[in-house]
Amino acid sequence: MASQLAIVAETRAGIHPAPNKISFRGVSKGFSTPGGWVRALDDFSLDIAPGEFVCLVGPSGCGKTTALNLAAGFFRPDAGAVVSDGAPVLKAGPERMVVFQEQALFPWMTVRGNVELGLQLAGKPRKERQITAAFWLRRMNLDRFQNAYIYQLSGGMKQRAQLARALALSPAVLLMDEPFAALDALTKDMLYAEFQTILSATHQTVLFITHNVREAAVMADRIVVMGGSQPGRVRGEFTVDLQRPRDSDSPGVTELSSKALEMLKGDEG
Amino acid sequence: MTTIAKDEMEGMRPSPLQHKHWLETWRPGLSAAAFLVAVLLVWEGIVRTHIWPPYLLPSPLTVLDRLWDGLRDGSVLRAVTSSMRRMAIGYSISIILGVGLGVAIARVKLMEETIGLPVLGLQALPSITWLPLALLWFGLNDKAILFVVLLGSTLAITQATTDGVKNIPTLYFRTARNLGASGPGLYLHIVLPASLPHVITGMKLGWSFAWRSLMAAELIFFTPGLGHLLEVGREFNDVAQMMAVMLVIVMLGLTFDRLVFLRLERFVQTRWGLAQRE
Repeated sequence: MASQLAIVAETRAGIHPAPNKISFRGVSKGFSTPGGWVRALDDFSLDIAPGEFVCLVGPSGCGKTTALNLAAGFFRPDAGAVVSDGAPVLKAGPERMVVFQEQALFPWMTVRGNVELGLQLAGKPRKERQITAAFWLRRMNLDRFQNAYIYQLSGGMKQRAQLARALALSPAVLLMDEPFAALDALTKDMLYAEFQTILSATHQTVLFITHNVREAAVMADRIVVMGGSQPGRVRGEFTVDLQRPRDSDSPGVTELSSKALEMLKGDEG
Repeated sequence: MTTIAKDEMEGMRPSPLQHKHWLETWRPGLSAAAFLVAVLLVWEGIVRTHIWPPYLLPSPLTVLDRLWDGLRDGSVLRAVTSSMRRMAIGYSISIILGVGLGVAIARVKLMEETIGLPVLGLQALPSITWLPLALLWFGLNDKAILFVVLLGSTLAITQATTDGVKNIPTLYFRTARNLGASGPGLYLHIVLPASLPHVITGMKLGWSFAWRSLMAAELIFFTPGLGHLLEVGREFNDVAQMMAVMLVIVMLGLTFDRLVFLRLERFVQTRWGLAQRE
C-alpha cells in the first residue's frame, strides 16, 4: 500500500517510474457503415500511468468511444496494440471494468446481487462477496437500497451502483463511458463530487470518455482532446493542476474548459 | 415513471390504496356476477320453452347437480388428478426441451440453419394431428398422449425462447463479458434470466396448447382423465355430465391462465422494467 501511494505521489508530480496501466500504441480501427468504411481511430497513441485520471474529450464520431471499447477488449484493433499492465488486451474481463452510460445493471438482480455477480463469477467465497459488496454499497451511499431492484432506482443511483459493481472487482483500470450523460444537472454535480472523492482516495487509474469539456476539467488529472479536422487522432492535451474536490462552476474549471473547447474548435474552419 | 428520492424508503413499497367508494372497488366483480346470473336465467328460460328435450339441453341446476355428484363420488377428482399428472409430466419436459432448443437455436448458427426452419414449420401443425401417428408408434397408452402434449407446447416455448435470447441487448452481453462471465455462468446468470419475460409468454402459450392437445387426446383413450369423462358422458347420453366436465375444464384453464401465468407475467414485466409503472 505504501509503495502504491509513493507511485501515485510521483505520478501526480509528473514522473512515471512504474509501467503504464494502459497504453494505446499506434492503434487503428475502422468500421464498415452504410455510408462506407469509417476509420474511427487512426494511429492513436496514449499512455495512462498508475493512479492517473485521464479524460478523453471530443465530439461524437471522434473515435473516443472506440478507444474505450478497445481498452475494454470488446473489439480488437486493426493495427497497433492496446497494452494493459504489460500484457496485450485480447478480451474483455474484470481487470478493466466499464461504467456505461446506459442502464447496464441487470434488472433481475437486486443492487447487491449486481455488485456481487462479478465476485461470484471470479469464484470468491460467499462471505468475502458479502463483505466486499457491503463495503462498496456503503461507500456509494447505497446500503439502504442494497435489496432494491433496478427499476426502483433513480438515474443517479443506477450510476452509483454501476461504480460500486466496477470497483468491487478492484480493476487495474476503470473505464467510464460518458457515465453522467443521461443525468440531470443537479444529480451530475452531486456525482462529480462523490466520484472524485472516491476515485482519488482509492488512487484508481481511470480512462473517462466525455463530450463535455467542463466535466473533463472537473474530473481529470489530464485532458486529452480528440477530433477536429483529423478524426481518430489526438489533437492535444492539458494537465489539470486544480485542487480537489473541484466545483464545476469554479474559475479554474471554467478557464480550462474554454481552453479545451478552443482546441476542439480550433482547426474546424 | 417514478424514481425514489434518497430518503424516501416508503416509496419502495406500493403506496396505500386511495380511498375509493365501495361501489367503485367492487364494480368489475359485480358486473361479472350480474352477467353470469343473466346468462343462467336465459339458459333456464330456454330450457323451460321445451324447444329442445331436457336430455339434449339440461337446466343449469341439473348440470350443477351432476357436478356435485361427480365431486362427491370422486370421479371428477380422479379425472382431474390423472389429467393434471399428464400435464405436469408433459409440460415439465416440454419446458426443459423448449428452453434448451430455443437457446440453442438463438446462440448456435448451425442449429438455427438446421432445426430453426422445421421448428417454425411444425408450429403450423395442430399437435393433435400427431395422434394417429403416436398411436402407431407408442400404442394406445399414456406415452402417446404425452407425445402429443409435448409436441403441443414444446415448439411454442422454443420459438418464444429464441426470440427472447435474440432480443437480449448487446449491452448485457458486453457487461457479462466485462464481469468475467463465460460458458455455463453466462447462460445461468445472464442469458436465461434476460430472456425470461419472453420465455414466460411462451410458457403461457405452451400451456394452453398442451391443455387443448391433452383434452383432445384423452377423448380417444379409455384411460381416466377429463377428456375421457366427457366421452363417458356421451356414451351414456348424459349431457348434464358432459357440461359439468366442460365447466371443470374451463375452471382449470382459467385458474392457470389468470392466476398463475398472468401474475407471473406481470411480476416479471415490472421487475424487468418492461411494464408501465403507475
